[in-house]
Amino acid sequence: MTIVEKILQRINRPELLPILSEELTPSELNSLLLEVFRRQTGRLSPAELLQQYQKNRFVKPADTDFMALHALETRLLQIFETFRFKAVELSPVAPLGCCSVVATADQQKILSALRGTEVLADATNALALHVADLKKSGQWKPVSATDQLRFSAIQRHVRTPKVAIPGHTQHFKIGCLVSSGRDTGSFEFERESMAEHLAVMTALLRDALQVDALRFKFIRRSGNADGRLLEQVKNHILQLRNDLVIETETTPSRENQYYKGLQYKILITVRGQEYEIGDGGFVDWTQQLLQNKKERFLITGLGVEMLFRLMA
Amino acid sequence: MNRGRVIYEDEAEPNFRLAYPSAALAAFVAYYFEVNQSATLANPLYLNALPNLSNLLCISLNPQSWLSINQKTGTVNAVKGSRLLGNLTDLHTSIYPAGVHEFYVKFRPGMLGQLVGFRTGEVENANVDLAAFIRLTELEERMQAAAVFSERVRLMEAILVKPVLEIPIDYRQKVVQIALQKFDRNAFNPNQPLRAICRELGVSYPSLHRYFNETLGYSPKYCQKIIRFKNALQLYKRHGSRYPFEDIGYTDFSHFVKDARQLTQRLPSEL
Repeated sequence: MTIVEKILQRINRPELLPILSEELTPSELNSLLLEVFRRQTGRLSPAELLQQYQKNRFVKPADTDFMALHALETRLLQIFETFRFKAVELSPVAPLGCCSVVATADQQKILSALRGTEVLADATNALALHVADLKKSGQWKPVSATDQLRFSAIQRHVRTPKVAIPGHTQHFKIGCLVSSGRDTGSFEFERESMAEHLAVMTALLRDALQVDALRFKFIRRSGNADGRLLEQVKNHILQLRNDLVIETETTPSRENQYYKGLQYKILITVRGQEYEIGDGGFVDWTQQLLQNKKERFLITGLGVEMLFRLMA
Repeated sequence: MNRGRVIYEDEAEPNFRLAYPSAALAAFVAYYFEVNQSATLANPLYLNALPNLSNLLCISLNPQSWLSINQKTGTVNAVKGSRLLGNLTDLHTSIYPAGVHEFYVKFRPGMLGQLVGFRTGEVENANVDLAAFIRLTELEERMQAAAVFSERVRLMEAILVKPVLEIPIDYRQKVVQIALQKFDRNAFNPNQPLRAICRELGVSYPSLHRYFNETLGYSPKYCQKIIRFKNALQLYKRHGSRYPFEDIGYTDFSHFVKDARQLTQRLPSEL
């Protein structure tokens, strides 16, 4: 029996959940919950508020040196912008379902909020919405078929699963790159956009932060018509640059429906220890949002806070 | 691994154009050059700039930023717009993504400082907005309007000739410039130590040291060392480690490698 079922059984209101989730409109549910929270907070004393603060694992400040982390973020954003990934400061909240509607993400892992929102759990999903909005509203129109939209962001993310690894926290800074374009045949978008993301990560990690070693791992994922994507992208990048280390995993041990066709991981060595500092790949989110199979979207996520701790 | 490379003046490069100044400006300007990077974002151009004594004027012809990374301190500068670039004491790697188009004037050591009003040592490793020193809008517009590199060179010469020729060059600066020429490969004779150069110039070493400090902010020995290293690296790139490095003032190849590590924190093969 789930926690929700136990609660409904205790209050003897088994019909409550279908009423709230199915019979009420989102707006009505929001109004109802706002009133519930207003009453609850009305009963809360300052002493109880402090107790809540001390108990709640989501609300404590980050234990990083803010100024130093901010300086690192500025360096990262400068590099992103130099490679024409326009920096965007996203809202701390996204529309409810921002991640779970288009991606294989469980809504339970996201801090759902009121007024049709959720606390930002993945900036790449929010950037996908931003891109889709720009395209659908006509605010961005490509001049040529191969034009791309490129955005970057560094945002604090909140995720609900309790962290088990020492040093990990419920909220953390992630740096993101996204590229959006259209399929023009021969995997042109995929080849060029992935080469650009790797060029940015190389300039950042190898050249600016001077990590001991940097390598990328390409992992074949399902969702691509003929499976040639990985080889096409890898060969293109290695033709352009012979200074990148790219390894491939064509028969991955674990299935992953999140990425379509190709996932990649960013691995760095710092003081003799290798760390997976980022990952990315192609996703179909803009295809779903814009209802257009020709849409292509590449995302990269970089653990900025982890990087900061490693480079300290 | 691609960690950038040093490009020398006589190397043919598709992304570079270079022109020497007219005789009137030759004492002040080493040369003009242009970076016009047409590669894609995925394949940026990596260049290394060695420690040097030159100050550069950089006129932006296209609003695309590039990265300058101090390889000793790790400082990253996203460079955008027209700049005054100071002489370098550390190795800097420049990363140019697609679209960078810039025109540079490389001044002889100390000369840009004379023109604008600073000592070379005061702007070491600096990368500052050129608008802080000169009225820029008109200059940028005129340079951007010029269709080709040769036209931009002519335009820059016409702009520079009057103020540059008004720069008062005193005895100390002349001695420093001649000494720098002697340090350079063509004039440099490893059997001619600094004492001999001083004798030839008719100054004592303490006087030469003072002249260098007053005009450049560095000692003659330091200047000789970085000029020798630049020339030796070029010879290493052409001839490899078997080149007789003792011919250009080093004890042996190991001495050259030691200088590379000290000046750039890298091996010669990584430059």
